[in-house]
Amino acid sequence: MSETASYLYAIAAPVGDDVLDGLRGVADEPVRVVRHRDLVAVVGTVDVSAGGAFGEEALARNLDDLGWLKAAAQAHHGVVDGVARAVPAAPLRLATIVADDDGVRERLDRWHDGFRRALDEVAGRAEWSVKVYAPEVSPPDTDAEPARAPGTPGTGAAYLIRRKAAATARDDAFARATAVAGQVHEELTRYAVDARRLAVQDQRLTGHDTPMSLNGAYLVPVDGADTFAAVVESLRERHEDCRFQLAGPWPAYSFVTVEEP
Amino acid sequence: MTQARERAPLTRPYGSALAAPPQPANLADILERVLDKGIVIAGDIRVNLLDIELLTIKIRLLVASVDKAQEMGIDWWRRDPMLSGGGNGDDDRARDE
Repeated sequence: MSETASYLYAIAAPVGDDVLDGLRGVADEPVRVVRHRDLVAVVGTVDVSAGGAFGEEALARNLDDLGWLKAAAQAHHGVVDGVARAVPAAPLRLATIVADDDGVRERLDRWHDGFRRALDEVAGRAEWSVKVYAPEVSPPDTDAEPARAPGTPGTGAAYLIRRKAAATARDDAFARATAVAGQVHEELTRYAVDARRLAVQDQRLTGHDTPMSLNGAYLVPVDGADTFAAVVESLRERHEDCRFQLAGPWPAYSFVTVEEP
Repeated sequence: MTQARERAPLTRPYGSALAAPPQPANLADILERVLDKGIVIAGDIRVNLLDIELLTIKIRLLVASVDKAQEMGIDWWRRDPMLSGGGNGDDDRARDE
């Protein structure tokens, strides 16, 4: 294999250089298109030599390095997003690398119908994310220990009682958020072409005070985006104890599936 | 099927009709999408994101502090056996909203 290879970001409708000129890829490289029939692959050239970052061994190591992975994921997303804002585009998964542009054309040919279907599916549509978090529960005052009146339970018992009450309140809050999640997803699905419930993100990742009960992805027509946002807003008002988060528009990552030809 | 497909020509990008400016995606959202979603085709460089790296990432990001899980409150909605008196108390508690 040569010392460089072609890294694929997205399959897209033909896209102008003015769009590509502003983008830099996972190796801070300029990106270009490889065209075949009515489709293009948006690619960049990466170093796959023994000393490069994208050879098999180095890549496995780098993907294991959270700092490297973070930068690569953001760069990958940056290119996909830049292209998808200009033309219909179907994202490829991170680190799809083929030997050279002939290999890219060969894939465009072999997978053409699937790519084309995926693009038709996402054209004029964008992915939106709606997340729901459990209500806040007032924390028990475990640090401040008030003076105990005679005849009331001792400190240890009082602590356990407070902890149990707090756990009960949190259980109830999460049960409530789970029910809200189901209702919200069902309602939003009516305003979306397609919808998926992704795995809820761990609290360590979200940084929120309460756990997530809905991590929904919605494929929404571009001209339906404002309506969708308004529906989210009305749901937020209806369930005002839960926290809502609307984010997007994004490339339709969660809605592009291509089957082996 | 085919006639329905032809309704959506390859002409409209996704950002064209939005009233509000887009928000940047946060890292967790990006990672879960670029690692786990998107088109998957076989490349010439073999990577096994889902089986090895994604698992590693999840372990790193999510479970790195598992020993601190309780104080961090990661699974605070689960039953604490010490407090629930052996654990089947979930169902008999009233849930009056």
